[in-house]
Amino acid sequence: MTADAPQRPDPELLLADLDSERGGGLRIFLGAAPGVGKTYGMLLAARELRTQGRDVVVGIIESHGRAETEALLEGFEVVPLRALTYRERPFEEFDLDAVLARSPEFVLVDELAHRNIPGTRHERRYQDIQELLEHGIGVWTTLNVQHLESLNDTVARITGVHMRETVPDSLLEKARDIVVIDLTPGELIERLSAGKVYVPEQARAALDGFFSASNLTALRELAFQAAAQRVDADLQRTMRRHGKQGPWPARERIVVITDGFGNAEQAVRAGRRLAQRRKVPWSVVTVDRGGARTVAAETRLARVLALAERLGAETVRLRGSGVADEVLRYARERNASSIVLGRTRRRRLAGLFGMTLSQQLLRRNTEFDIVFIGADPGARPTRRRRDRLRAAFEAAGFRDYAFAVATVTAAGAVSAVLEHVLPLTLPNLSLVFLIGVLLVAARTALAPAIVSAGLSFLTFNFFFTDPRFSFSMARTDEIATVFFFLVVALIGSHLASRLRRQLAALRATNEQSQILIDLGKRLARAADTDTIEQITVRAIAEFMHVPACIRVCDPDTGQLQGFSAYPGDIQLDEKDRAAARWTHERGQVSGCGTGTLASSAWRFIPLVLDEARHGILGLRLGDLPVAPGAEQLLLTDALANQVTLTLARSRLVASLEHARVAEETERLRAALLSSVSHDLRTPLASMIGAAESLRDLRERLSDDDRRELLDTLLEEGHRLDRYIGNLLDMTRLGDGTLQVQRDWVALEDIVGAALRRTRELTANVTVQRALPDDLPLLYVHPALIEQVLVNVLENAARYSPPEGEIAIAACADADWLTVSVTDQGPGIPAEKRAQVFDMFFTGGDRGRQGTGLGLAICHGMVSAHGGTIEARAGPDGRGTRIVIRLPLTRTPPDQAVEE
Amino acid sequence: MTNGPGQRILVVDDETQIRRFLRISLGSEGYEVLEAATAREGIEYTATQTPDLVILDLGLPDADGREVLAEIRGWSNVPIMILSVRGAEAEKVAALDGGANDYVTKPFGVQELLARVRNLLRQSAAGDEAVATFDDGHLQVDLVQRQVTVAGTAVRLTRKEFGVLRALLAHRDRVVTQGALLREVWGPTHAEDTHYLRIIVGRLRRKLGDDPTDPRYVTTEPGVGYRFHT
Repeated sequence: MTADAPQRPDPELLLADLDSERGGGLRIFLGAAPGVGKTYGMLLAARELRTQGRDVVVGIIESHGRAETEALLEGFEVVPLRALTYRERPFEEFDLDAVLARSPEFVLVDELAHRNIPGTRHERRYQDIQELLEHGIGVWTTLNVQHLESLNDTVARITGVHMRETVPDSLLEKARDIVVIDLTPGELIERLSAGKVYVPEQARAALDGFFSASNLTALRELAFQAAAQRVDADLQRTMRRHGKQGPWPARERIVVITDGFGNAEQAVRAGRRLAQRRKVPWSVVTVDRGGARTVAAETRLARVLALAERLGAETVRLRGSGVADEVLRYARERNASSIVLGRTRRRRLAGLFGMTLSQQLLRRNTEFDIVFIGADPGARPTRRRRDRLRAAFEAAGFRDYAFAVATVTAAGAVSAVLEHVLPLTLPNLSLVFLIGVLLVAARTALAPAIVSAGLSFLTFNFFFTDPRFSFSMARTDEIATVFFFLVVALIGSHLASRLRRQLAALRATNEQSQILIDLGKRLARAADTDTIEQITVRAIAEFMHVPACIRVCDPDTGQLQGFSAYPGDIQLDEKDRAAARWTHERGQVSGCGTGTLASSAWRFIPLVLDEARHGILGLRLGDLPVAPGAEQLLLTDALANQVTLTLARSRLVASLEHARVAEETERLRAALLSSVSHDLRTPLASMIGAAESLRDLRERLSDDDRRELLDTLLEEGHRLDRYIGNLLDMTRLGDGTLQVQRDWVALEDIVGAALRRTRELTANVTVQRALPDDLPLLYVHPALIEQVLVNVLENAARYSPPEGEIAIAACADADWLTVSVTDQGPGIPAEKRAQVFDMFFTGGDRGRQGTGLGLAICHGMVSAHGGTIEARAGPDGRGTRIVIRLPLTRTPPDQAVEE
Repeated sequence: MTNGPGQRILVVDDETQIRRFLRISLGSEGYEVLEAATAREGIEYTATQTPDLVILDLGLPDADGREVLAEIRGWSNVPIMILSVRGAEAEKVAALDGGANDYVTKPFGVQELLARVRNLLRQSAAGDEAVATFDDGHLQVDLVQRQVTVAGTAVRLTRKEFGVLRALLAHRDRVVTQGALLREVWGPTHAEDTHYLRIIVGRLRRKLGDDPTDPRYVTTEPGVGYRFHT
């Protein structure tokens, strides 16, 4: 859109607005600290609402035994809490399902930041509230500003207390309105000392410092800021809704780089603030260089990425050897404006050579703002180097070190022999050790390689430099050799082990692609949903080494149906089923390793494509010895994606087929109706007319006339009989009840029977038969093949000129018996020869009494036998030749006929 | 009992129109026609009125025609002719094997029906004594001497060919089911080996000089069996 173009309201925003206006919406009573009276304020407002006749119920109120709060509760309908047992202690928790079932207009749910007792559906209360909102129930809740995710660092800096129970800022944005419950710090401290503020006994000491006047002032300001920011956002939304250009820039992305170390969380939060302030989307990226990572490092990274997702970022894992290159490439692709990175550690040496990430970014980048987020001066940075070293050692086992020692010993022995046999100089001998070190680096990991380099250095020094058998060295050139050796060995081992790591990473990536390709291949063969289910659970169970299950949903009702699992005897318990249902209803991941119904051993992934639900995929990740890494989870998502695509494809095919069949059926129904009305009524009209004439006009009719009328009656009766026979045959062919009851039969018998049945029709023509004596027996349903011949003969007779000739011929080869019926009629134009086998095709002349069913029935019956039927031109291009080919699938067991 | 007018025929069919048409056509030949509309009446009249022939429709409102057949066969040898529809070959075979003497397929021609009726009444009159010979001037068969002559030339039949011919001649002009033929000629274990029968009948026709697509003597009743035409 250009700046001059008429500015239309943003439809997405209008929709979002409508969405949030459905139901009562969310109202947050925001306070700066505990004790300001949020709950009290909420209840007061709710009473007001109730007096207006609105339907308000209490979901949960933490009165902490305060009498004035409890007094306000009087008269409210309170939904009973749900009793739970956790670690053998009884608990009471907000009952989400009860409120959903009660479905009030408004519900009061205290303490937005509350963490639920394990065993409830969601990990956090705000998730409960989200679900309530989605059901159109208005929710009023309370929140202390320090629980806001994006303010976590700030609050910690101010108060020194880190909040564990944070809630996503998006909730604040989602709220229809925010009520700030304000109390001056002085008053609050007064209330506190008067014992009017509930503070858990065990936290009292920690909180003593929290409620200082300066802290409370700062928190109060934060609360106002949060509310004001929301007001600002409201204003902008309103402006955009009404099509006014706001002061925001073009959509430019903020990219945050992280490796999970250092002040990664801070960098992420800073990125979010930046993105929010600029009203732009943002991504958090990490670059996997294929190195070994400890479990701890992986967990840290997963946590940071999860935080980023909670804060609304898109998280991306890039793969490549150069962090700076990958990030810059991504930033360009996604039209980013700024790159945010935290500080991890001092790399003085790397800094000296301009090798740090920040230096690389600054050197290569020309277009992006680079934002560095400073570390907390007090916070102890996580040392990545130390971690990396630890990872290197973790990755190596005892065998690797044994290998390192053995290699050095061998190198020493070889050097000793070489020195003895060939007078080699010291630098040459050092190469023997270098080979050993590189071998260790290439075969094991960095740590054993470094150990072997050190050992080599010592061995070399001890045995091969003068003075021998001492660690002291006399000659300058030898000192130089030995130290150069050490440097070369360390660099070499580093390079070799990095190569190895990259190879391993490549292999891992390869393996994953292979898994995906493999699944794709297997699924490509699946035609129906059942097969897809079977293949999917089996493949995924094999790839992930845990039991897998799938439930697909009925495309019409959206209900989950069926259950396929691998291994087949796996069952879901009530908890698992609840998680599965939740995932399906909400289209979100639940169960093991998620924030919802995490007590289930299963992880359920929704199979959703373009908002169409196809079912859910379950993996019993609880069976894994260690929690699955982000890589594995990404792989499961990718697998689920592929399954979804396959399901969607199969459903599309099925629905297209369904539409095609429905259309075909409709067309046939119309044709059948017209055929019935025409082909039944015509002979009936003749019969009624003839019979009436005979009864009423008998005296006036000549004998010839009477005879003619009687012939008409008979002929039309037979015609009606044939027609009804055809209709019956067609119905049996159509509804699949036609069963081919095969029997051995001689073609002569079938031809004979067909000729007998068509004797009257073929009275005016000559029928020539040319059937060889030695035709093999057919293994067919005799009545059906007889009917085929009857219909073909009837057709031939109908189109034959008077005194014409119909020729029946047959021949056989090893696999087929071919029968042909040739007439001398007008023939069928080449382009219509295939069409004559379509139902109700009559060649446009009903005058000849064709019903358009005969040849269609022939086609159906011959096909049911695995044969073919086609129309050709007669010899010399005159007339029509119908050629029927029937397979000679079995030769009769010829033994013992005469025994 | 003599063959001809005055003989009593019971028609068991629930269709008034069919009964009326049979009453008129059979009556015109001089037969006395009794009518029954239900299975119960059919069985009752067969027992009380002692008809010379029963024409039985298999589709009756109160019972399956085959049950009526089994009931009657429990105490009477009266010839029974079945009325059935095309496509119900298995039903016909079951009825024939269950003791019916012949069948016609609806819709049927009057001429054909009258011929079958005459034939059944004649055989019934002749009793069960087997006719040991056949001679129509073209084909001579002596079942005792096992001699077959076609147009004056002796024809050698194999054992099975002769067996089939003998079985068909024993019930000449009546349909013999393929199961019955197979059991009689090949033995009960071969009742399903219809291809034996097809091969032997094919050879037999060739030896008798029959056109297989329009045979004079051995005709095929598709899906049911064979009939020897005198």
